[in-house]
Amino acid sequence: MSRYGTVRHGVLEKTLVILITAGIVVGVNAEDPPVNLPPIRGVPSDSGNDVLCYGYACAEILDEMFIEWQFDWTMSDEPVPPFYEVDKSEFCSKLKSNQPVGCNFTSPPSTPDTDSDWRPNGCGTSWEVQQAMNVAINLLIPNGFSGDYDSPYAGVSFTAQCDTHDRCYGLGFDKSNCDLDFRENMIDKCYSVASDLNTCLGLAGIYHGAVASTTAGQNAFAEAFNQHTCAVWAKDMKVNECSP
Amino acid sequence: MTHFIRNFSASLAITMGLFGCEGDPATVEPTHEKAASPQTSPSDSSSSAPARVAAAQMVFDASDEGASLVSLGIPSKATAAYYRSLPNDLLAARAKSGEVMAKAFLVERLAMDGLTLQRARKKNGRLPNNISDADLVADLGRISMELAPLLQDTNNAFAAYLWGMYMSAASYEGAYEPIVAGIRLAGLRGDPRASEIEQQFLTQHPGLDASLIENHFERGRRELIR
Repeated sequence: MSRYGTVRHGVLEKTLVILITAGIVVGVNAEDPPVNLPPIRGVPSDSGNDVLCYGYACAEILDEMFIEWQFDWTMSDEPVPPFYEVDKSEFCSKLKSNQPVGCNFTSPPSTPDTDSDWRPNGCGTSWEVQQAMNVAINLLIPNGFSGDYDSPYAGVSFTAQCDTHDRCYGLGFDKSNCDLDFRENMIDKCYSVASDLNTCLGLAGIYHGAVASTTAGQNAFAEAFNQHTCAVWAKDMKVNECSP
Repeated sequence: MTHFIRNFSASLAITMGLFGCEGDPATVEPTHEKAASPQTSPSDSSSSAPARVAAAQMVFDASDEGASLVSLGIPSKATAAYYRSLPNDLLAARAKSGEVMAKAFLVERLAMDGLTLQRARKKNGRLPNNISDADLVADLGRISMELAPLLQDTNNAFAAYLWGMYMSAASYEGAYEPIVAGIRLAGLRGDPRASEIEQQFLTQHPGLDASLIENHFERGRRELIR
């Protein structure tokens, strides 16, 4: 008898495998609505509803359960069923035990792909990163800094580029790619609009350096990554109706 | 006013040590004090030794085919020694006046300082006590500004090497992959030695991430063909 009850759907028909290429946020700018990413895994369950995973931790659980199911049937004398269903109860138990440290199920952090009210905050950043940028900007353009990190210099605004960078971090994408995209986007902006190209490029170098080369930049990414991990875990729990 | 991170003397001494002080008799005598050549242990993987090696390999010896390399913006050892001997203020002033080689060697100096400090952070878990991230970031801004006109000259292969060093200094704990990308970009701009230089660098530092090198190379290519 099948360990997972009545089989209804084929694996290949129902499994959704959508690869999210880290670091690519295509066509996203400050005016875009929050990101609605599809699940990265979907498997039929014995409850009648598919188990869906938006996070990699959840997907790994499904993968491990499938491998274990395959192994069990391989070791048994019975023929392997053509279809697979995941044990919902067991899945929820495993997912619950994967709760990230300090993660609040009831009120998880807001991220671009889990909260429709999420909004980027332009070039506003942590106090630590601001300190690094403050010194650098004032050295580059003495008496020229506006005090506004979104528009640090006349004719230069990096708000859209900063928003895209926020979104990249907020989605838990690869830091290096997020930072390099940020730099490239700012340079593109400089070449397209800046009247003082060299100053603009210098500022782009500062902004990129602040996020890519500093401890504060590392900390900012780690915080965003942890928030995303928690938010996606909570979403996976809720979508699949698993009790905390 | 250019903000220089310390260690200029050490950086200069390292570079001079690599070149064996093959100087141009017409070179202006440096006004600062020369430091003793530091030890460069091959096993010292936490230092900026790869950057120093790359810096040494970028310039050409008098016995090489100099004319073709000069047209690519690549300086001779003698030229490099001269600019590397200039005091900070003079180098900065000449860069500000628009002198191309001065800009190039100002970029090199700042990038190597930054990379040295990033590698020190990798080794010790933090920057030296008298250096802050703000100092690093300030120099990255300056490099970006000075490097831009050099990159816009599509015949300037030297600028490609400098781009690699800059991006390495702009990475947390000083990744070496951008240096390799810069060498590759120099080849794209016509330096016939680039492939050999890249192989030497990779042989000296195995285990670099090929996909990261390629990622930086592609981004550099987009930046260099504006």
